[in-house]
Amino acid sequence: MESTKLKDVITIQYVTPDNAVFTEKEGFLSLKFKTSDGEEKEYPRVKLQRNFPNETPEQFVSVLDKEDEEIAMIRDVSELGDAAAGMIRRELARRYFVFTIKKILYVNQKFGYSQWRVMTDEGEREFTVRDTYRNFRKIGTDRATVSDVDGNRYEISSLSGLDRASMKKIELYI
Amino acid sequence: MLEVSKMGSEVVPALSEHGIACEDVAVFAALDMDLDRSRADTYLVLTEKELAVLTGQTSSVGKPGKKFRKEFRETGFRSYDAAKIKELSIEEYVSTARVVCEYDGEDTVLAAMTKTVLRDARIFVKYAAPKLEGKEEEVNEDDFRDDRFCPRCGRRYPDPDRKICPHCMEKSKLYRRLFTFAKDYRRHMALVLLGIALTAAMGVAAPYFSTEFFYDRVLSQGDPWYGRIVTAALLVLLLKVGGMIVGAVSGVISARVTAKVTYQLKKTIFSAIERLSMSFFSARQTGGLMNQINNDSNEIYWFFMDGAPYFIKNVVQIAAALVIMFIMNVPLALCAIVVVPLFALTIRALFRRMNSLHARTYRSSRALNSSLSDALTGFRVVKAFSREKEETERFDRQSKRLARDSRSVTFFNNTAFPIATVIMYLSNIIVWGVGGWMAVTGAFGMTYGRLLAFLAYSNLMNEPMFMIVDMAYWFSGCTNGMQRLFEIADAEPDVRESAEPTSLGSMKGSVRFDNVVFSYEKGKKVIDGVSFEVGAGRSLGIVGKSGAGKSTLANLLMRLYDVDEGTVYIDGVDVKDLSFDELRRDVGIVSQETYLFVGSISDNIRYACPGATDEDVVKAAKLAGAHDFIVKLPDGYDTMIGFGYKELSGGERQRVSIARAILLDPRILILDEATAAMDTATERKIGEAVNELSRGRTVIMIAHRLSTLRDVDSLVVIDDGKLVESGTHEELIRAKGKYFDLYKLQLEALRNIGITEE
Repeated sequence: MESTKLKDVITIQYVTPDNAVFTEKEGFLSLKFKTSDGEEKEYPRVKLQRNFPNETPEQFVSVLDKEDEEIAMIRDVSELGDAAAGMIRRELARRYFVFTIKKILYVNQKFGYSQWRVMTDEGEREFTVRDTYRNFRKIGTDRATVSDVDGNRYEISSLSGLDRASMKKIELYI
Repeated sequence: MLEVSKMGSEVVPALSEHGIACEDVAVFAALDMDLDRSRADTYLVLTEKELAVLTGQTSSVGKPGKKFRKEFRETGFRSYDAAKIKELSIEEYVSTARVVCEYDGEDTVLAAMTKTVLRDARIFVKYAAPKLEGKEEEVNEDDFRDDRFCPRCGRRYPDPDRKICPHCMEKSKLYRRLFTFAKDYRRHMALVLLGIALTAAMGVAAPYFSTEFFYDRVLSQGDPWYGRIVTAALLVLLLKVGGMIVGAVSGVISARVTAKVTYQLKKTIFSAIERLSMSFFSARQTGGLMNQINNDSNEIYWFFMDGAPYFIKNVVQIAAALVIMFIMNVPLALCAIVVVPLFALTIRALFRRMNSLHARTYRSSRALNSSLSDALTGFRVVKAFSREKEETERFDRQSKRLARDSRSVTFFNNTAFPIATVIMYLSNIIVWGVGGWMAVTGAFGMTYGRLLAFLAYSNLMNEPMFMIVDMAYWFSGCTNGMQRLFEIADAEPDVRESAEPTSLGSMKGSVRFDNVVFSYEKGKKVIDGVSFEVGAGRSLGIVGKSGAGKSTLANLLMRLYDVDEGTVYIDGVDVKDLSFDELRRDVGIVSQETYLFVGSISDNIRYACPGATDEDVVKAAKLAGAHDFIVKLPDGYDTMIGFGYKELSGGERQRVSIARAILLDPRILILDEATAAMDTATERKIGEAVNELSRGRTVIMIAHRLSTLRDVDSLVVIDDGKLVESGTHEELIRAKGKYFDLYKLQLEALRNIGITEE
């Protein structure tokens, strides 16, 4: 007897251009979705959740309803056509916004905390990091994030792109 | 006005320009972003008629103290009709959040913020949302007590959970406080200081006798000391040996004192920890806490054991050497110290680099250790999926990294320090050159012996530099450690025993929750207005999904945490008024996470009442169904269990903890998923035992498996922190609500495997 493959046992409900219509208004994303049973439903406010935020931020993005229940999954944002993809990317950018560090002006370890002053795309910001080794996280080979005591996250999108002076300040944590 | 954040005087004129007077404001909060995520001061202002969002930039004008004021420059103002706002809420994102609502039927974003002020926004919504619906939320003072700023300098604490201001911390106070621990050892410490001073003095005297004295007097004809070589040699030997003995004695004394002081420090910290409330432990991970206490006290130990005595000794030595050098020959002394600043700076730079190399090595070794222990504890999984090769590779990678890092440390040590030594020699060479010229020409009364003495002293001055330069680093480590330890010692428990506790005499065991509200984290209610009652001697089942808040109810009854609002009563008395003793003696809990201490089974069962007889222990074990498996163990009740000894299975551990609670014989027994890890037959047996027990005793059972709760008198269903249903099993089945759904679901699961309700 031929054994069933995992992929035949369970199917993932994907969002396709045929079964979903996204609309965007004033910073909110809504979805009209037809399930495989042909049932159509409207969701005025949907949430997007990246399943692999670090590796493939545009693939396997879950669409959740108000109660955080998954409606369906986006296999790849670019599959959905330019208009929808644009809306989804904007919503993702809103939801996953983190400050991007361009330059590190100051890092000082004091009393178990490190004080940081950095230049981001949104201007200069200061923050405090507790247990720096744990809260400084390298992602892949060239990216890193650091989370402060309040839960804000800052990203260094390219470690190799940092200037020497900035790099020297964070060398220890990499 | 409810000021979630202080309304600064600079905002008032801007608001009045838009027709909002201070006295009209009902709720006020300050956020930190504009809608485009740029940094901005955004104010949420709720009045009777409108919700206004004022945006702008605040800047400081004038010097601190003198004509200092803040200026607000408005960049935007939006007003929303209060009557049209619905569903005011917060959407939380990865690093930001926003306040949203339904305005006139349209989803609308009101304001954005970073997580730094999320708490403020939550509190704003907590009070503003009911107001918009025409209701009033009861004001909880805690929400408005802003304790995120240092009361002395007004700066924000770096960590909102730790009220320590690095600017206002007084280091001297810390050290003085540490010395209060050492006050019984004052005489010892005086001895240690004397010892250090003596060693230093002998250390300084020795070079004189081995150089100038020896060459210029013992070896020069005509001097009264001429030829007395043996005496001179004995003198030098005496100084050396004497210094060594005094040093050793004072070392022994200081080791004893330091060890005792750190022991007392640890004891103080530990008893402080035991006193603290649960919330303290959840805020810091327990493992981290353990490490921290150990590391910190070790740091203090080594600082006072090694660091401080050496430091004092060396400082004395350097000072003495300098004085002697200047007395001997001023110009040459000046030559000798010319290099010192260069030398000190070089060492400082080297140490910085070395510390960072060491930190990196430490990290790689930690990573290696953790992956090693990961692979070894998980070897079953590794083997099952035949990942040996990958694990080996992973280990190899990390091992290589550690090797590389250790190599760079060694390389650094072997190259950098010789360089520093060369710089030190520079000073020697200068002294040789200049001093040699002086000796040859006889300038400044320089002799051969004196030159040698001078060289010895200049080395005496240079050598301790290696250590003294690193002292600041060492010192700050010790200060940190002390700060953290005293912080624990000073932490105030949130749950405090009433000063004049009410005594119930003998507890009957009736429990009543009255409109209880509780949250672990501000603004996130875990328990929301729960009320129920259990009569004395009755039993109650608490049902609900995992994460619904069931265990929290048990924690509140035990008073491991205090309620935010509402009251928990036992026998009609607020639990806050009961003494801890009475509460803990008469309320027993078997919780989900069973913890057994290292020790014998009987020790563990006896934990809460050490005086219990063996007979009682066996009885309790029998009731808890533990006796059956204990008799099969070769050592019976004396079998050692816990970390590193015999591993009990999940169900066995639960049975031992039930026995522990039963032995306490509490009036109120809480079983929090206490039988979840047992097989159905054992669970049934224990259920019967609990039924026996519940006669004349209040039993509260928490479970998600409904079969566990077959015999309870009444049930409450908790969902999302709220009590959704209550009643007897029959009543709830008839009501066809949540309980019925759950019941149906579990019944179906049984039917699927061919079991029907009898």
